[in-house]
Amino acid sequence: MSVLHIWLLLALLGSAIAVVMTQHEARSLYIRLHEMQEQTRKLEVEHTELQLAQSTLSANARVESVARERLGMVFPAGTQVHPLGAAGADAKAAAPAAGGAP
Amino acid sequence: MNTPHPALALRLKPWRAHVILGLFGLAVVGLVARAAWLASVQNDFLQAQADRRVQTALAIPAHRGRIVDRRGGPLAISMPTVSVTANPRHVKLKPGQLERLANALDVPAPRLQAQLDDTRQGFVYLRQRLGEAEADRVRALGIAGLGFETDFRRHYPAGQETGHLVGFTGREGNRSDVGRAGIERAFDRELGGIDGQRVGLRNSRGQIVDDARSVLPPQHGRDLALAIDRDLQYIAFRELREAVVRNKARGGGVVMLDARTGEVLAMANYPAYDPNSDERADPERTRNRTVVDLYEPGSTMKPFTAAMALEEGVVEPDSKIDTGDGTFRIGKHTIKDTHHTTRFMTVTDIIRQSSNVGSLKMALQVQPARHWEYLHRFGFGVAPGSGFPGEVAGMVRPWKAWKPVDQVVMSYGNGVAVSLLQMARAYLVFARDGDLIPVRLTRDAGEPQGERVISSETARQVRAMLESVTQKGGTATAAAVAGYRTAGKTGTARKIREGGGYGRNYIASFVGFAPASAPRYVLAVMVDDPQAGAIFGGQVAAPVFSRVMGEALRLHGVPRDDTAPVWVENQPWPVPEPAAPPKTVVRMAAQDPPR
Repeated sequence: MSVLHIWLLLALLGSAIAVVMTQHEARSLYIRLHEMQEQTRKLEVEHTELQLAQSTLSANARVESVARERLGMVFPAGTQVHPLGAAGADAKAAAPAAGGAP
Repeated sequence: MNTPHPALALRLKPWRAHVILGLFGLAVVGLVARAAWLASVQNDFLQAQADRRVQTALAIPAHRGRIVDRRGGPLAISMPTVSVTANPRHVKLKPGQLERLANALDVPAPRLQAQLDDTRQGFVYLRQRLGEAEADRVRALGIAGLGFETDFRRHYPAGQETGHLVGFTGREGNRSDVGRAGIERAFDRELGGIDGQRVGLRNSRGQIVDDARSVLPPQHGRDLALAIDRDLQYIAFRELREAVVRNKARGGGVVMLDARTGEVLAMANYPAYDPNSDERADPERTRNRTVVDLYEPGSTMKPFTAAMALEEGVVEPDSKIDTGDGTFRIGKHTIKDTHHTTRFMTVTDIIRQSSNVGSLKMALQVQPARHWEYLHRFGFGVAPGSGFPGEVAGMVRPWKAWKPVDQVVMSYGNGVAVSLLQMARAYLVFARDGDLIPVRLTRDAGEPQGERVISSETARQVRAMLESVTQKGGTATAAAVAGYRTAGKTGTARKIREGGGYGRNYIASFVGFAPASAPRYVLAVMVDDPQAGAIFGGQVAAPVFSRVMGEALRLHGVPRDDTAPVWVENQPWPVPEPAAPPKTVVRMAAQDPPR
């Protein structure tokens, strides 16, 4: 066995171990990738859930019933509505009442 | 040192060595042949067996696209749910696990016990439609023999408000979300996704360590933006329900169009159903009447008769038309005006007071063929082109089949059948200076391509007449909106009885637009069979118009065009019955303490 043979043997062993190591690393990275993808999916699902919750909570029907029942608000009758600006006839309604309560 | 080994000293017969060598040779040939056989003939089977042991196929579920309103508010969302299954023969429970499993599944323990004890079954559903988080808690128990199936469930946050329009999905074969009605059905192909697939390699612990083949990515469904405005839809639905309930009516519909684009901003029906619940079989409740049902429009047709007469030059807006004593005889039929006050009426008077005799006098000056052509051009008897499943074209019989009385009754809206959507669309002609544009349910760019039906001069004249309807002396003062000029026409048509002929049931309607100086919205309201006394469109449908239109103008900050003092008697706003919140399964934020 010449010196060359010994070197070649060492190189072969080295590369064999390197193959095993990279393979292992690739697999662990792959598992990690999978976990991340799963997490992405879960977060997406949660995002959807939250969107749904948000739109359910902000639904007009719910807002109106909360305003009426919990906050005791009422719809103004037509004569109680005074648009600001625009039409000149409403200018006096638009002006703040002098000495109004703070 | 050189003494031979005793064994070598034996003198054996040479054939013995040859036999042994031959046997070894045969064994080698046998092994090679076996290997060749396995590698060629049996290759596929063995490869498949090997793959089954290390490969595992996983479906990557594709979710269905969302349906959103014009500002992106969700109207339909798919959420994954998990069904927990079990093979009772394989489930081995340790003490105390039954209670924990029952708790995690949220089912009664005795029922669970009974299901798992029944080992005649190889497969049972323990719980369907569990949320992801809850399913993870079940998985964490680590019980062998359980299975998990992921599925999607469709949620409709606006519930019954948009039920008829958006529709619903159902299971078909192995697809859980197939559009069955409404928009879900019309746009099923765009909304539906295609599941992807991956084949993974498992290690000894069951983890997937690599892909055996290239991954087939899922194709998620496309989101669909509707033209609907969720706020206007809510108001339309609320006011319609209020009107139907107060008038003890069978049902009703509201359609609101954007006069500039033809987009459908609101489309409400009552009675309604909640698409989130499973009780949705009854077509009486799920049908979108505004698009698929026909009705006789009655007097809302008169402005088209007037427009035709003006366009044909047979009358001018202030021509005096002799209505006699308010009755007209043709054959054995007598046509009467409901409120007859003056004998000589202008075209404006005819529209404002809704005179049948005046309308038919105008129509009779136009040839039937020409009359039919006008109806056709206004879109009657032609599908409005919304793309909604089951959209009807309405019914206008060919003019050659008309008897003289037919043209007479058609002039005031009998003997023809229209859908509410069609009627709303036709009023676009008056709101838009004389051209008819297609209606659109989806939000997509592009200027609408209009088709001129009448001159802008005629459209302007009819608009002024329609404005007089909601002013003092008109049939629909209840349609007025404080601060804005409104225009429109009432309709009160008798319903045809089952066996033919007219009964004592009515359809009250109002179709109009505002602001009259530069119309933004066209709104059509129809109430089917009011039974609480009031039957006229001006009493039953016009108040709905006033409220919905008023809210829409105010919400969208449309400049006021009426500076006249408010003379409308404003009744206090009625308190609507509290709307049932949609039955969606929602993880309420309340569960998480605020941070």
